[in-house]
Amino acid sequence: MRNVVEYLLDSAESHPKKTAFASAEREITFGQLKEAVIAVAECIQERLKGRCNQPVAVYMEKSVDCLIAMLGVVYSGNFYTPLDKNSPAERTDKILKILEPACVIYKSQEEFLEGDWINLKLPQDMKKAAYDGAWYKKVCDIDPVYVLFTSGSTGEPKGVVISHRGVIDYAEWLKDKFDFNDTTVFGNQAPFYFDNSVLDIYSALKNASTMYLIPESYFLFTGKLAGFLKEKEINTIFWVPSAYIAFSNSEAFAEADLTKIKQALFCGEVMPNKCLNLWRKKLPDAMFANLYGPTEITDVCTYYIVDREFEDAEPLPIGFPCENTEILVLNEKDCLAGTNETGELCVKGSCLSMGYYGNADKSEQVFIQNPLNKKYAERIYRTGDLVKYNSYGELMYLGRKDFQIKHQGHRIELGEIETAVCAARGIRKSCALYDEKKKKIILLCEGTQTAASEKEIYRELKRKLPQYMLPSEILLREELPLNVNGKIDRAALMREVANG
Amino acid sequence: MDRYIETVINILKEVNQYEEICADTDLMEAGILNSLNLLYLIEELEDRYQITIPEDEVKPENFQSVRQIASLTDSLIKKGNNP
Repeated sequence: MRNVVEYLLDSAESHPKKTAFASAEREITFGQLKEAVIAVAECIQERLKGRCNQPVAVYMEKSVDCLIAMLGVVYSGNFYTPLDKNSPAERTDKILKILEPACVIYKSQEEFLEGDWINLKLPQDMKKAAYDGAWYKKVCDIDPVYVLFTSGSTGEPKGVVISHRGVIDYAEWLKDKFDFNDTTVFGNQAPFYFDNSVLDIYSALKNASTMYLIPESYFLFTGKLAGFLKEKEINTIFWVPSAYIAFSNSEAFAEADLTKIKQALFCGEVMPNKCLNLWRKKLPDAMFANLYGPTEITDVCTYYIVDREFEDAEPLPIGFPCENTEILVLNEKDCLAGTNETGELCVKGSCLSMGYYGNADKSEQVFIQNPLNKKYAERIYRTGDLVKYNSYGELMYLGRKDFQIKHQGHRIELGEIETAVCAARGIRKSCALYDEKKKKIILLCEGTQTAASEKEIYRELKRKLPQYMLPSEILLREELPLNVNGKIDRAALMREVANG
Repeated sequence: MDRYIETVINILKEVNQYEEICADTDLMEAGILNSLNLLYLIEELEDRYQITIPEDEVKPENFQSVRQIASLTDSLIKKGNNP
């Protein structure tokens, strides 16, 4: 197994008539999916003329067609970047400038992006390719399958490069741990530009499971969510905690018939036990698991299958390393931390990303030689997450060592927000803070007399940042306090803001 | 109906103080509605107008824009007065 597309080929052979992916509008079987994917790959190769290992962006609505496009890229021997259609144009431009795609695939006219690449419209009819070049055989297992962009603290998004090897290793671990098979029915929530979707997509392909795309609006209008889960007989969900919280907070939850759900997994931010306990009460026979991992390590590197009672206010462990993964908790001296000693969580294994696309500087800062190994080249990734082992030997998440936050399930570098506001008229300095309790982003700005107003700043931010990064509160100040190092005193501002 | 439109916009502005919200703004596309806001909006409307918004009316078709929310509110008030 060298290429993730082989999962599709195997399942198309063993389960040709089984539904692979389905949205509210349409379904596609493994057999049909295979044909469509090869047809798209043929289109891509017609334009690329045999070139492989090229980046191809996919700028489409989350849909079955989007999946066909992504897999078509893989079959063509290249790697894909799914773009967020809800991102403002300026941000998408930044990503495209870094990626320099050979090709951008789109479906409707409104998805057409002008630029220095081949624009490929997804064909209406993708029944069968005229010629199957099996171009995927030309690439190695350490070649990239996707590049997913994440928030960058200096305003430049970072493209995380993940190889076939990483995804294959992950999919194998998932199957062993959770026994995914052809009776598994996934209810996908994660957008394709967020690596939680990797679990759903590639587990479905590997195990000939069916994956339903849950419409995004159903997480807002949860009455429909309950109906959808029941009707499609979804038995496995892997959602971000915000989605679990939204559902359990709504009236529809109490009435919902969720008895089919047997496995409820979550990842992407802290799962409060308050919410988990509501779900455990609702689904007493289901297995719940907390999965943890940054984008830089193929979605997940530790897991905790919930096996005991927790008080609402207690923290949930992130548990244990996945098989074939090593976790090193390094203290400030770069030595292994002892029990109950705080350290930075570092990861070693095939799951590691090849680095940030086109950004050797940023890559070198966090993908480093294992300081414990002086004998041969061994890469580890510094996550920036602070953790410790509790007395059960379980990893506990404590916080960040920098200014990255999770808000509504999204990973955000507060620096990206601060950089975006620099362009606003008359703003000299800014400081973005996160109120964990109220779950609000607060932006403080130091500006001249004639500086932009809060509304104007907000409008400026809206042009540069996706909705989930926008602050709920913008405070204009004549001067922001500095600490002894001459930097903005974030601690003082946090205290001020916390005191209302 | 205009009265309701104004109220709905005011409620939404309480939780989205910098957004430009008009009667026909696509609330979902603009990201103005999220699970917290929606709950708050429903609670406020039920409180201020002494109505109950039934679970099966909480669907995208009724909450796409301020105008649609106002229209839903209007019909529920009328129904309340003519049980």
